Amino acid sequence: LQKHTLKNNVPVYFYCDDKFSCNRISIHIALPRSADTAHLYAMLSTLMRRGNDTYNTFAAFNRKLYDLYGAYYDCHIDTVGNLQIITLAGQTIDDSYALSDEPIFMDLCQFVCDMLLDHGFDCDHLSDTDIAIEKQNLIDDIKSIINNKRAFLLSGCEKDIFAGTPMAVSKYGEEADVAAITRSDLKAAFARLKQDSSIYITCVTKYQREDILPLLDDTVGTLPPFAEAVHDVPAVSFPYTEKTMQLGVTQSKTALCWLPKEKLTDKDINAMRVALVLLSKMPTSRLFMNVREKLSLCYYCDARFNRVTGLFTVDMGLSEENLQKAKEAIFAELDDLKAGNISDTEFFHMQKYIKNSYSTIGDSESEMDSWLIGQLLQQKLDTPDQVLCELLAITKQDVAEVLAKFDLCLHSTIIPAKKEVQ
Amino acid sequence: MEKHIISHPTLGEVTVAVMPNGLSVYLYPQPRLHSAYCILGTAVGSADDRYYDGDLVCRMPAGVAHFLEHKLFESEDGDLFYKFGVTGANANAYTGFDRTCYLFSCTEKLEESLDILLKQIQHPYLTHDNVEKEKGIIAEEIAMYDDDPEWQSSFQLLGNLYHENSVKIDIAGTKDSIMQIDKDVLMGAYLRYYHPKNQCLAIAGNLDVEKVLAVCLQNCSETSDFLLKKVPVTEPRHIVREKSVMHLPIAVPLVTLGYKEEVPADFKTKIVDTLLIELLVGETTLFYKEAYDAGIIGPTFGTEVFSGDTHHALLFSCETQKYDEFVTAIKNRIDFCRQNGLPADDFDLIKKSIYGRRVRAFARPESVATSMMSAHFLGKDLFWLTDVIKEITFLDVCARFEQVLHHQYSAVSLILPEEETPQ
Repeated sequence: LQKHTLKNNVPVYFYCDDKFSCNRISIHIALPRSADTAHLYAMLSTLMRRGNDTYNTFAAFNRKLYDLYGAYYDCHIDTVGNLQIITLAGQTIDDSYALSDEPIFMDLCQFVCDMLLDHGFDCDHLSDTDIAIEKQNLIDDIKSIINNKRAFLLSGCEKDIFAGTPMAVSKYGEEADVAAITRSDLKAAFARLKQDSSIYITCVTKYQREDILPLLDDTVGTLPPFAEAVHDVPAVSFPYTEKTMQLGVTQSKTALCWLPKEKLTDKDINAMRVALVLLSKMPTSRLFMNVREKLSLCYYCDARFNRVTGLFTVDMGLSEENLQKAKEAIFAELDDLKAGNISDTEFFHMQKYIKNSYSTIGDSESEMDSWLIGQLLQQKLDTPDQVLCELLAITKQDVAEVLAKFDLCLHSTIIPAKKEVQ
Repeated sequence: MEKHIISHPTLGEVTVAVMPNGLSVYLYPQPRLHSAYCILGTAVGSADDRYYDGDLVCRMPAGVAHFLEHKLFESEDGDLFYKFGVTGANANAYTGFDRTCYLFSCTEKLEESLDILLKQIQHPYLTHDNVEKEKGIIAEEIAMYDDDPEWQSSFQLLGNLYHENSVKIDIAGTKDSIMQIDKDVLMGAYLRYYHPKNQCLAIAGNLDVEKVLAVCLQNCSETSDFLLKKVPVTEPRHIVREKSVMHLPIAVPLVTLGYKEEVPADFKTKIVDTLLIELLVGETTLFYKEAYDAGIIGPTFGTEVFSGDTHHALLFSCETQKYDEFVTAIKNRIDFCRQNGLPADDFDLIKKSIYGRRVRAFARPESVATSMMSAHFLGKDLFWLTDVIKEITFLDVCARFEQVLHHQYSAVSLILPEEETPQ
């Protein structure tokens, strides 16, 4: 794992190993997460996904990807705490598999860099119709969040709990804001993106870094100087609330949400990762074994933890009549963990599971890429092995103590809509 | 034990072995990786719901293969997951229309985990109580998919296309059908289908070939002759109905247009169909640009060669407000190309792209192992799946186009939003 900097100080992180049969490059652009700009950056990501000034039609754009042996390319938007992240990522087969000795990966690196840099926004290739279509597509994306009821429920919880802070801002922005976007808004946002963002580049590759760095210097290296992304996540408190929505669903979905009472330390965060495994990540985890298998209450019951916002959730899908029983069963498992009642066997299973999970990350180009950007946004550069060592040092007592630092703040439920009595 | 090696000039080699009990084993070592991925597939799925009792054709309740998949992770001396917890393997299972697969990934103790899996699958533990308990869990799984618009759209379309073929029924069955399943039904299905000759074991990643084969041999229990004679599906060529509509709480309508086709004799034809669809409506076509610019299709536009042992259909789907225009546009495009010929310009590029995507699959042990298993059930090998693309010509695709995508065999599934908002 090696770090280099371009001439404008943009950091480039390499994970090079000749075991890979594919090569991957990603450009991650960290921006402030704000209701004023979220919709604009989301629009930019949709435009950077479909072409640029050079590859300015679907045909030209896709022919290039076909020519790169069906390379994967995507530009997607996400959020991490108070940051909105645009990621341009490309992956294709190693040059050694090329049918006529082409330098596939260098060509892909150039393509991904051009996708970021080569946009005029006042040029002819992007017509008013193009902009209108992409606005409508983004609006459809925003509306379609309801299609996945589980994701809809959890995103609603985040909006409620973090209302008034950047963490409540949707990664796509709001429908009305998207509808009002103009060409000049996009041009200004693109200029701001290049000026105000923190760019990180990650390469997971069989290539040697010396081959790639000059190309990156000539492209991304020409952007304004790098500034580190600032994580500024405000402490949030939320009085306990219960919320029920009726929708035309067959199965009820419920989510329990907790917030930490105090700022979590790095060790607390690791203890929460361990707690999640004990609760729901393994097939022998408590929620799977006790709530699903023994009580037959559900098919899924999953615990999640956001290390940046501190939000801890458990969500499940179940019959409405079992809601109270399930809630009690989940509380019972949490209380048991908080009391330190963790058997040696389950702790051993957890450690084996974690070792398996973290040892596998380095085998996959995409998982290693995700790992790297996760580390960079924490301003760290730990390897999976280093974090694994820290996790294996977590004790039962650490798990009990960290869970005691959380307060239940929201219980939100979707239930099947009641038919009106005629 | 019969054993041989299949080599490829750039993609490595696969060791193929057939155990004395008939189990086929495929091993693809990737020594530089930390992990290994193991999959044990059985050629039975939700569509296998009919069997012979003498000359009599009998029918099982829908969802038996899936139910059995849930139950085979239990044994008298403890849950399989607990045993895997000790070795550190991460295990799972899934059921499709014509396969049931048990799998695990690990970074250590591969042989011990494999030993656990092979023993477990050969010794089902079914009791009245553990079968009854599972019904609640499966009922919730079915309910979860009831709320999934894409899942509902798929099965609504299959219901429009197929009269007799059980691919039209949810893989997990229905809340009513699972209530008819008991331990005798499950054991009957197990004895019918879970024979080593009807199974395939595939492992890719960090593995020692000889050690793995030794474990397979140790678990080679004596078996009876494999006498399974599958009941042929007598599916009429014509469709059931042209269109059906379902209302769900979604924001944007979801439309799927499907063409019911004869099941091709060989897998190569399925790849030809992939090329055909790309030439017709792929992202380099004028159709794609015009439909996108008109707002008829968007980023959710997708196509699929939906194919299995007893079914074959070509699907076009999209989330779009202009769902009627979507269906018309696809049909018009097919008619246009029928009259004017398929565009040949991008043929070689599309082939190159499919070749690249196949090679890309070698990056991950799970995709290699799954491909080895799929190839086995197709009577092919791993490398054939990658190399066959090079043989396909534009004329092959044109000839295939003559046979498929005729509108009288097409049907539409439409999922529309209901007038409902969160209260």
